[in-house]
Amino acid sequence: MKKKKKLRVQIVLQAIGLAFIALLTIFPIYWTLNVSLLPEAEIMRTKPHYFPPPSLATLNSYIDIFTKYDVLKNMANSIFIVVLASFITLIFSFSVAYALVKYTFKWKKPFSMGLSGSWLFPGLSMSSPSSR
Amino acid sequence: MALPWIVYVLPIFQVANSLRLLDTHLLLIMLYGFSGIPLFSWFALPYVYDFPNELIDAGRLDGCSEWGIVLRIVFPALKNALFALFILRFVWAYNDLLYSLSFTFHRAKMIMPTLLEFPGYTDMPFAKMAAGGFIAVLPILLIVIFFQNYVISGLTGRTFK
Repeated sequence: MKKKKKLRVQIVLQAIGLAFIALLTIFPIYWTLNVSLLPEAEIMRTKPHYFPPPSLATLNSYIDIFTKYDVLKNMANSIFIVVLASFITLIFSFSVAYALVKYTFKWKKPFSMGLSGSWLFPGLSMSSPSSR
Repeated sequence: MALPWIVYVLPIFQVANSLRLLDTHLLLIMLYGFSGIPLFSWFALPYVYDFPNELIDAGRLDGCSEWGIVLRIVFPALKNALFALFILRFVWAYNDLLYSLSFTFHRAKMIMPTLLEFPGYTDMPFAKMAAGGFIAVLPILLIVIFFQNYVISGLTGRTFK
């Protein structure tokens, strides 16, 4: 009986925590969407719109950015570059990890120490010699 | 080498300029592809470490080549971890501003520098900026929503029970 009650308290606490984190994650996205649907003049107000009222909501800003800038082309660029780059990163990094874990070779220990040790190196100290 | 990425901007710019690689897709693919290797091999270590040696030895006994072991046994078994790390790297590189701002101008321009063009010298078009931000974040949002299960099982769960 006691155990069951404790469990219920735990579940409630978990739910509250999860709801809080979910709110923290979702609210900025929601607010961006909200602001993007309002006309420019209605954004800076003392009493903000918490949701775009149907009489005010416009898609003008979307039409604006799609006609004035190459948003779609640049986004396609971005996705193309990033997908290929992620494939390269993953293939190479899994081969590095696989070789480090499953094979034995000369200089294995210094190599793995270097891989982790170079993270301790302050990067900005390299900036002036490498920019000469 | 696993140095912070900002260190490399000036030398990479000079090298890319002399190789006529500035503002090409190839340069950015190489940059984003190779700059993540140290960190992501570090992330990949525990997954490979957990992989049982018995499976690899069984593959060797059955006459699989070393490449076959990696491609047919290790990669399919670590699919979830691969997927999770892929999404992590995707989001990381997609959100990166430094390289895309420094090395792309017109042809290979990425989405983040485009968003920086919206505010003018005198006006601050919040609605336009918010619309651009929402559109830019849409691919990541869709990927994370559709592949949620892979991310969760890959980043937190054990691959072998």
